[in-house]
Amino acid sequence: MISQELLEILACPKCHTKLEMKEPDQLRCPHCKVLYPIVDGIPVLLIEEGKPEPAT
Amino acid sequence: MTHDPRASFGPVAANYSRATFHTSAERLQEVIDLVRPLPGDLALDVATGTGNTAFALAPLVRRVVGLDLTREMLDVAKRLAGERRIENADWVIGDASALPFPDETFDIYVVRAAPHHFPQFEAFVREAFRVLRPGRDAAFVDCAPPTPARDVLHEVEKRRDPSHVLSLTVEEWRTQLEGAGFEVESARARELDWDYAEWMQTMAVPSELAAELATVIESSKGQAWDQLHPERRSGKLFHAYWHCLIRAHKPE
Repeated sequence: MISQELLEILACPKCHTKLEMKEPDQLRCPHCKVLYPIVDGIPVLLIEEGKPEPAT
Repeated sequence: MTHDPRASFGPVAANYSRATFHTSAERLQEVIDLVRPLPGDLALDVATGTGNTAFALAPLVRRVVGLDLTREMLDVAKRLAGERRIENADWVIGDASALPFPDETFDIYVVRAAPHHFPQFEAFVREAFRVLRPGRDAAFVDCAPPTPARDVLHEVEKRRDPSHVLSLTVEEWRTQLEGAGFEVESARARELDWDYAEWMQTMAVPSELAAELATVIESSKGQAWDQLHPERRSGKLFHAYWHCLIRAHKPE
C-alpha cells in the first residue's frame, strides 16, 4: 500500500497525467493506458517499467 | 555506453546510511540552510539513496518524497523510516530526468551528491524546474572541483565508480540552471578535508585499485596538486574535495 498523500501527487513519468490506483499493487496512466507496478510498497515509476494495459 | 548506476549502488546501499559525508549533521544542515523549509511544505529529495537528506527534512516539513533509481537504496530508506518512526516520508523509484509528478507539485526540491551520475543533465535540470512551485527554491549540492583538479578527480571517480559521468564547476552549474529558467540566488564551492580511504570504502573499491588511484592524486602536478594538496597523516591520505552549494529560485 502507498499513502493517500503520495497517490495524490503521482503522475506518469512520460506524459505527467495523474495516476490512478488500479490494484493495490498497480498504478494506471489513463492517458497512455499503461500500468506501473508497486513492489513491496514502493511505486516503480520508470518509463521502461510501464506495461501496456491488456485490452478488455 | 552509459554505466547503469544501479549496478554500482545496489551492492553497497547499506554503506550510504553510515558514510560520514552522507550522514553528517553539519553537511545535512547545509542543505536545510539552502532550502529554508516551512512547516507546511511538500519536499522532494531526488536521488535520496538511503534517505539521509529526506530524514533531515522530514521533521521540518509537512511531507517529503524520496526518489531514487536504485531499489536496494530505497529498501534501506524505508526500513530506517520504520525504525525511526518517521511517518511523513514516501519513497518512489524514479528517474531524475523523467520525474513521475505533475508540474508545480513541490515547495522544495533537493538533490545532493548525485547529479555527477546523471547522463541526461539538461533533462534533470528541466525536470527540477518543472515540478517546483513558482516562487520557491531548489538546492543543488554535488561534487564540484575546480579545474584543473577536476581532471585528476575525474579519472579517480570514473575508475572508483563507472557510473560517474561528470562533475560540473560552480560556473557550469550556474549556466545550466539559468538556461532552464532558474534564478541562481547563491552558488559557492565548499572545500572539505577528504578522507580518501573512507571514500573508497563507501564504494567497496578493492584495495589494489584504491592504492593505484591514490597514486593518481598524489602524483598530480602544478595547479591541480596545489588545489588538491594531498598529504599523508599517519600513513592515511587526505586531500581537498569540493561541493557546490547552490540555491536556485523559480520565479513567480
